[in-house]
Amino acid sequence: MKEVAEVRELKVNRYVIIDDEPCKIVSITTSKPGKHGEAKARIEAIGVFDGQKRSIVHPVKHKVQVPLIDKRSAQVISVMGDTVQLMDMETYDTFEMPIPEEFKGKLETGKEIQYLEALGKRKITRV
Amino acid sequence: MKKTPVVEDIQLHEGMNANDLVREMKKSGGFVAKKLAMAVDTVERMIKDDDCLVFLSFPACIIATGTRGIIRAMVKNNLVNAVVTTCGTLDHDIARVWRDYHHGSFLMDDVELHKKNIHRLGNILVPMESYGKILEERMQPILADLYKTKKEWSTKELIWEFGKRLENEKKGKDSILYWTWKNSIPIFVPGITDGAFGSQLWLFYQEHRDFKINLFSDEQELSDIVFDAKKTGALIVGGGISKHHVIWWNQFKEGLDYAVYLTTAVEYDGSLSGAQTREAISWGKIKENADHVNVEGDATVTLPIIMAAVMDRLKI
Repeated sequence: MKEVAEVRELKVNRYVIIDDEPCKIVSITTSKPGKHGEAKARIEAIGVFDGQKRSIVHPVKHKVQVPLIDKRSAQVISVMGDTVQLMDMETYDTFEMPIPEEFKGKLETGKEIQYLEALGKRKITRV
Repeated sequence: MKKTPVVEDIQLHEGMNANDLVREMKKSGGFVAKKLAMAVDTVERMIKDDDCLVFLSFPACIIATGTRGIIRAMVKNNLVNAVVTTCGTLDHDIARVWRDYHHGSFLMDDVELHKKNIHRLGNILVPMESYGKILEERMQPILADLYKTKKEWSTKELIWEFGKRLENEKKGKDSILYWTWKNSIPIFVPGITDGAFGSQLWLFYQEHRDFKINLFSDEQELSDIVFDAKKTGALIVGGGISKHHVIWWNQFKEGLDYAVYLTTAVEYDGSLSGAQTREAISWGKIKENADHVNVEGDATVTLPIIMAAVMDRLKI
């Protein structure tokens, strides 16, 4: 579900956990060592599931937690109002999710969609 | 015209100490020398007054110099009852337990110094390894430890914890923080985030978002100190937040009974730092009939002379 990495290993468009939320990194700015101590990196990121902007500052050698993002495919089993029932194409696990605003009206039974799974939560990424 | 003392020439003799010189300076009549001598008298009186609670405030820069030894002597010998200062004091005091600062000059090439990672503070040189990095290295594990006890801290509580942990360090007893803890002298830093020490607190907060500094706890303690005191005195070095916070709190008891300001700031710009003791009277921060004096001059000169004379008189 998660692994450890040093801040200096992180890259934009990869992921990091901030406040227990998996976030996609939008920018990394580094400051040289100085009165504040060792070189620091300021990471700006957006929560994968809540879309919230977060920022965090750490020394570049600091160890942080990185979520393991699993990109998967699923087939739409049924659409019931604001909820969709999906079946993972690989494991055949079925699960239900609320339909995100951006995909409302675009889900049809039998259609294949892409979703991601991180820290036990799921999100539809492409229909 | 009322008869006042006659101006007398300063007489130097072999084996004079600071107190001897100060007594000569008092008789000399002018200019800041006389005021400095009066300040020695005032400081002596406020310390000897058993009913008087003494505040000491100062900004951080002097702690990067040997004047740190004077402040240390004041807290080590229990000459003051409460300290208000800035975050930089914590930086320099702690850093200098483990690393050295060096002599430099105001005229050095700052671009060259930057290339060599040497910071210049006046005519003091602070190599980068002597400052930011060492504090970061030592503080984070201590904060992790403190966080296990509780998550919310006042600046005084935090500072005492760091002072306590310096006890077994080789140069730990050179530290002002150590002696404030050892002698239970409360020390407050209202501007705690503005320096390396405070920045390390903020860095710790990055991964411990429930770690909090409770400034109101500090204020509550200052309130108790001031409301419980029969009389108060203050030796205020320099200006800024450390000066103001002391005179601010003393409003609540209608003003300081004794006040000595050591300052290089000027009055004409209306700054708090340049405001003389008499201005504070209009605010109720110093009493109308208080024993007060403003001494112009660099505190690295005036403070050692004053305290050497005072300590001689107190026979310390």
